[in-house]
Amino acid sequence: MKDTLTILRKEFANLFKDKRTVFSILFLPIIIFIAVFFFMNMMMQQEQEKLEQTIYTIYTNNPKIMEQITQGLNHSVNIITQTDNMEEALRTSSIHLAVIFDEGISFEEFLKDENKQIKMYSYSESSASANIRTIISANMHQLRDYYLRQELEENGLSASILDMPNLVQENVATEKEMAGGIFGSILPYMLVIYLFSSSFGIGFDTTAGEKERQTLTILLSNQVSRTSIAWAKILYIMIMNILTATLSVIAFSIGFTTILTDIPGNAMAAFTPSTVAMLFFVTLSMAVLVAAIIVVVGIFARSVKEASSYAMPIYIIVIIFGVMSLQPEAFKETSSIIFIPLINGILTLKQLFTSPELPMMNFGITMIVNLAVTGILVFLASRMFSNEKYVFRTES
Amino acid sequence: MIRFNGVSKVFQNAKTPTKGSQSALGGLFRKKATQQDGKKSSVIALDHVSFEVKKGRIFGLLGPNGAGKTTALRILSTLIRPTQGTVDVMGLDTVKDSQQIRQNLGFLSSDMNLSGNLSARDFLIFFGRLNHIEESQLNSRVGELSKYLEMDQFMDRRVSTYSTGMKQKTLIAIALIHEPDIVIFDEPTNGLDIMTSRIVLNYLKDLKARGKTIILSTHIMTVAQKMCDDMVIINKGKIIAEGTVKEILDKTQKDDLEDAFFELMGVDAV
Repeated sequence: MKDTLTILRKEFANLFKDKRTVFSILFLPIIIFIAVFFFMNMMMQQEQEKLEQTIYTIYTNNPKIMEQITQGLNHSVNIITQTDNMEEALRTSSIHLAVIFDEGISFEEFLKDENKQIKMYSYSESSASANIRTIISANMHQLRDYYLRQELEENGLSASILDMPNLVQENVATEKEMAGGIFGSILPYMLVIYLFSSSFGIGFDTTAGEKERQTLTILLSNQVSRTSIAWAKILYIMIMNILTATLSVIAFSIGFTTILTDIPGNAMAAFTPSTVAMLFFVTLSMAVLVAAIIVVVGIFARSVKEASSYAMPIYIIVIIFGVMSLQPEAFKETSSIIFIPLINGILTLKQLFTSPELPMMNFGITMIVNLAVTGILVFLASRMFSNEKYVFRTES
Repeated sequence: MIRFNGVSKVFQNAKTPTKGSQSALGGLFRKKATQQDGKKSSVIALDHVSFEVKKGRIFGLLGPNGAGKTTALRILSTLIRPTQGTVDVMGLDTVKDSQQIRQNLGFLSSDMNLSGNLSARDFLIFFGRLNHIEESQLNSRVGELSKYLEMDQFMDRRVSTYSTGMKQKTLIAIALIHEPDIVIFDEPTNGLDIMTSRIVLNYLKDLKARGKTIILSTHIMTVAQKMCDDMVIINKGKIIAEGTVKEILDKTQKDDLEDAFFELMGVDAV
């Protein structure tokens, strides 16, 4: 254990002596996240302002009805009746919408006659076109609703019939569940990405990289046991994984909440002490397992490049499960997944935030499976550190 | 003290080195001359090698590149296992008692390197701690090595900024930080200028005077002649001569070791 800590200290000393590496590993992701979300937010606001200030050009064959429909709109509208090529005009934003009514239709017929047809043309790749289509469409429905209410009242009927049934909506989800739904979707995905991606750089540098640079032989020719070396490398990668994953998730959350302002419920309600404890232990089990995988792959590979290519398929599989976890209903009835190392962490984290009860059984299985596989990998890594086939396997 | 007992080493499925490339297993001769370069094959690096190294002597392991010197030293330092035969170090077996043996070994190999952000001082303290040297003694030991090997000027600089000579001195100091009883140096003067080489060779003599056993692998015959008490000359994994310098000179009827070496190799001296 003492030797493990000595190697661990040396790894961290080596890392923290290089300010550029520390900056790029620990601080750059935070800055990038916050900057990306800041700019996204800024661009969304600018886009919104632009849409509000746009003078929407609508081509129609019936300007009278169109004027009625657009009356009272908060947006400036320019109605035209001439255009050379309607589709091309939409694509080039010369017009933003085309509304074609049946020939000779009156405003009354537009409201009353269900057999009359209105064709609306828009260009979905233009936000202005999509925006005015939504506005005009909503206004048409509103006008028709208004007319129907008038008609009903004129014929002695109550307009409230249109409001039937008397629909009262209640969501039984607790505040914790509502907030947890968001975290349950995003957190597992974010964690697996960062646990893996941060390992690639430092993890392969400290294993395959040391082989490539011929610095591992010095350590191996010393009296330190191979198990101590394996544990030191795994702990080093694990601590860095957790550190970078935590910082990145925090940075992401800060950034994310700046653009997603309407999170239902109290976001912090998802984090009860027991949830946080489980989150910590599940993340720890995933981090140590990822670190063990990286160490084994790193010792096996001839070079950092080769190690990255070996680890990529595992990374992709994990990402696929991470993406699947973004779906609210994912992993509801997938009991066998709990026995798959690493993937089980995604499942448990999702359930941790989305289930009304703490997933004790899945938590226990996840911990046992992940730690057991880690133990096997540590044993394998220590054997590989003793095996000349792997420690002297380089590309040079 | 150290005994190689019929040691053979065969590397299975090792890529035979193509011209201009350096094998990860060291420069090894090929078993089958007909095998095409780049194809996987078995190579015999050592072929039933037996010799003994006596305590407190400087023992030379001589041979051309690819003779099997590095393989022999790696087996001795427990980094690799012999395919056949055994190596005893102070009554311990290099396979069964590897960790115990490494406690008493200081190993410097030509394929070792230093990189990263740590300084020579950081490395020496790190390896001192790994060798369980008391903290109170560690700083004085670091200071002693730094002074003897004239490392003071660069002790606190990052090793990534070092010249080859500075790195070699640091590696030598790392190998000696725990004052091992057996010192194994594979081409210790590689990349060193004449002044630094002299410092290193003098230090080896000093170690011998302190009762340490030194195994020195080199292809520089003047160094071997000056330094070694006993030696073996290896070629293609087999011992072709062994004894003291005088015995080898007598055997080949030459005046200096370089001529004797060429004679044994069957090559004309310049």
